[in-house]
Amino acid sequence: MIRFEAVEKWFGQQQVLAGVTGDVKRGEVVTLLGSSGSGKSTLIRTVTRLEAIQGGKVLFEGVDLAGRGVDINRLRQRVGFVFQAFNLFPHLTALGNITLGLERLRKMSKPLARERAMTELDRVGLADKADALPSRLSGGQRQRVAIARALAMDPDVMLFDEPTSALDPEMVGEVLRVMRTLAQNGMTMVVVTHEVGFAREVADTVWFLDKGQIVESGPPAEVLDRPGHERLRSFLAKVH
Amino acid sequence: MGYVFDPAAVLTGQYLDWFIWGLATTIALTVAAWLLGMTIGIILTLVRMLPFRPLEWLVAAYVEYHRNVPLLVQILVWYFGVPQLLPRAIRMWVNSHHSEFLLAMVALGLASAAYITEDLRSGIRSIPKTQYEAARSIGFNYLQAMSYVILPQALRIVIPPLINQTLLLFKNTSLAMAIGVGELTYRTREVDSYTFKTFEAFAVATIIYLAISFGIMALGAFANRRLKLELR
Repeated sequence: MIRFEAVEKWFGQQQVLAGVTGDVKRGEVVTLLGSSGSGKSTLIRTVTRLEAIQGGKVLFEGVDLAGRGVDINRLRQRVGFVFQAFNLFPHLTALGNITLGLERLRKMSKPLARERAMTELDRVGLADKADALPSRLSGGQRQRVAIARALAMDPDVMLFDEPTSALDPEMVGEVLRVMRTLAQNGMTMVVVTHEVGFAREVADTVWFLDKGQIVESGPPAEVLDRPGHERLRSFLAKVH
Repeated sequence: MGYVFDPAAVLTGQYLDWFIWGLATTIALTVAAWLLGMTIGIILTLVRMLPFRPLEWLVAAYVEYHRNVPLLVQILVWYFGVPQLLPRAIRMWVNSHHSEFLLAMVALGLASAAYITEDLRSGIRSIPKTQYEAARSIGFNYLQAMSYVILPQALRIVIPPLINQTLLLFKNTSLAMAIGVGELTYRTREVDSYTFKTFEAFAVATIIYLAISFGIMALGAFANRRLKLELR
């Protein structure tokens, strides 16, 4: 579904992606591990062209994202993106955050959009917070609304950029629970995270990135329990 | 000094009518110029944020002209200069449809737009880039992201400076008397020259101006309370 082909990216003189190649298959959950600065967030941001690349290709269902005929706005509707800092729209309620895209892009009627948004809020356990402004929600609740907002657009794949890193420890669980259910229901997911436990339990594949390259990849049992690479061993020692 | 202060003398009969007409014209001019200023101000803001340098320079030139040339000069240019550039048919139409009011509105509105776009730009800059990214990630294009996500927040943030601009605009409508717009100051001068009750006439005008200014401030404070962004 998503294919990275020798993807390269520079920030000025500094190379952050140094030839990343990998495949994400439909229904697969891929977890990206790596220390900060390893390029894992940058990598998933290339999928929706939040980051431009300077070398290689990113393909979505076989289509080169850099191609001329690509309608990036249409493509972004098919790719849900969840940010570390939630990025809810502070001037809209939880419900309003979700209905905005449904009404303006999907051209749903107000009642229909509302109904759909309520379904999504219910799915993340926040139906009772529909009319709350983001400022009145806890971090964990905000992230669940952000997930609901992305899901409402019926994406083919969900990208998570460190979804629990900005949360207080006691709120991590509620967000991971939602993500786990999502994975069990067959959603294709790419998750950048430091939660090794989540990777071990939910991921089909783990990619370990170091200095802009995938240095190890495979099923979690293999990668996490028998780490071959020295950098991965020291990473796992640190996060455990 | 045998001056007797007698406000009732200027608040009767035709003089009262003049004040009422003047006030109505002032309010109409303020509202019309405000709407024009907001519209042009928002358009200028969207244009200057496009990634195309020459457009940015063009808007910058627009802003500098309107902020640095006296407003009275701008009004005179619009009234005496611009109509000469128009095709005869349009000029005739404008002249027969209260051209002084229309042109004062244009001059005041365009000048306000220069200040409004500066306020809006600083408001937009204060909104984290991640909000824009989140909007684009849902699938909105530039204009949609601006209209549904960025501008609604920026407008809330800049309510206080916008209230200031509104007050300035309201007071500056008095300059339109220079081209014969029958607004409040113009009518006050008329009442003065008919009655020789200078202090009374201007006292009435002063009170009206103050009352409306306070009204605008109260309305602005109310809007700010209701719409203020809760970020935490």
